[in-house]
Amino acid sequence: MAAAQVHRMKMLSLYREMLREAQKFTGYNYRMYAVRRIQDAFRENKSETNPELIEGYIKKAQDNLPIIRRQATISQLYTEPKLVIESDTAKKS
Amino acid sequence: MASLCRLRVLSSIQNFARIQHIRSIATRSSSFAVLQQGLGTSKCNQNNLQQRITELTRSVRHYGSAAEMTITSIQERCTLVLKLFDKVDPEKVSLESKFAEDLGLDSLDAVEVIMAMEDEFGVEISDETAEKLLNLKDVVECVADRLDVAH
Repeated sequence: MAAAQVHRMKMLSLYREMLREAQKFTGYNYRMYAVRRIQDAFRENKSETNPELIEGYIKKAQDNLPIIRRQATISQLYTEPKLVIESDTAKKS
Repeated sequence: MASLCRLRVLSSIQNFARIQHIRSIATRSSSFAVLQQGLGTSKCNQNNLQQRITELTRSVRHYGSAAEMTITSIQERCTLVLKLFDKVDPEKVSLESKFAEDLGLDSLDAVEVIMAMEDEFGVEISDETAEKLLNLKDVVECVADRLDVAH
């Protein structure tokens, strides 16, 4: 029970951290892909109970977090103009 | 014939120069007049000076402080954020309704809701605190704490 609780906390904080990092992608397509991919992957295995498998997923997430972080930073160095669908009509006065 | 031509050219250049000179004097005097008008020290010109200063400073951008927040405005914005969340039925949203039981959100959704609230108000809510926020009322209180709003 205690282990499950620890896993739960770890997963939630990883989920949150990964989403935060994924939102930093400047390119719309990469950003939306990363966000959706994270959401889907976590949802897919949310009812997993096998501790070993869960450990594996946590490891995978921990490995992928720095990759997302690095790629988001690189994307900020090479920005491209915003897509038409991104333009915020509310901000135009 | 050639010398006559040259003379004509010369005289036209002289004419041009004269016109230029007159024009420069004209602009100088007019700008001087504006200066006198704007920077005059006599009392009758004080208003004028004030007006001019206002005109000059108008193009400067002024940054305002953040909008005044009250507990009701926080409540309204939190409710709106939650209603706009994809998986939430807007009609079920109230301050008391619990994320998990009443709105049918799992813990992953709850994390996303809390992240949306953070973005809305520009505050940071730690994992441990976020774990304890079970309904909208808790979130509102937490945000109000972060923004130093009495509740």
